[in-house]
Amino acid sequence: MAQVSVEDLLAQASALRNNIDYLQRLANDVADALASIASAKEAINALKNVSGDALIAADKRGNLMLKLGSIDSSKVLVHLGLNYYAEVTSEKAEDILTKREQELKAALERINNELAKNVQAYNEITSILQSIEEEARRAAAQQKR
Amino acid sequence: MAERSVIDSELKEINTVLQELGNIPQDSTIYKIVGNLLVRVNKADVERELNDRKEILELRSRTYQKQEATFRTELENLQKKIQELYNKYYPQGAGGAAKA
Repeated sequence: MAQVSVEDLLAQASALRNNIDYLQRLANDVADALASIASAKEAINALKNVSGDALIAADKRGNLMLKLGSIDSSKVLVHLGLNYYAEVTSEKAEDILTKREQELKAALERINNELAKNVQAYNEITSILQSIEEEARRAAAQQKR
Repeated sequence: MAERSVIDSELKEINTVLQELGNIPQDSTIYKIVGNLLVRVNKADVERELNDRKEILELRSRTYQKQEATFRTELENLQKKIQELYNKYYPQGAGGAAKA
């Protein structure tokens, strides 16, 4: 059976910890993107029923709202990826957003699976390291006696 | 490997945009973000620009793949040599490694 040093285990635990942090950040980013798409789809549906004036936020936090006379809800600009937007019907935009939403959900699932595997491996290694530590403590106590 | 991953990720994004462009009518209005501006661009020009970029990235990706394969082979050979030397000087795995 192959021998593994304590240093190797510690290095592996540290690498796993870094990977877990990275995957958690990635999962948060994907979840943010999903929330943003859900919000865009909600806006498309809301636009279908807008009869009068609408307001638009002038900044990200909504400190200032601007009144818009009327919105042409038949056409919207949807992000295609990279730096490109296309003017399409709201139905087409919804299709594009739904497709992206599905891709992101699948990606989030993959990330979460990977995260679970990493967390399990990390827990296993830390448990081994804890038993080594306990064993070392016991051995030291016996030597004192 | 990190570089190849960046290239592959951009390639994936380009393919997605090209696919979306293929799914919308030819006369659709397309805009490109330039700084804080959205500038109207021609769909055919965008497709051409993206296909050119795709070609360059595919070429770079293939080059990196070949380099990676070469490095992997070199690494495996070095690992074998190290293992042989280790076995020669520390027979039966003796020397330094602690049991976990």
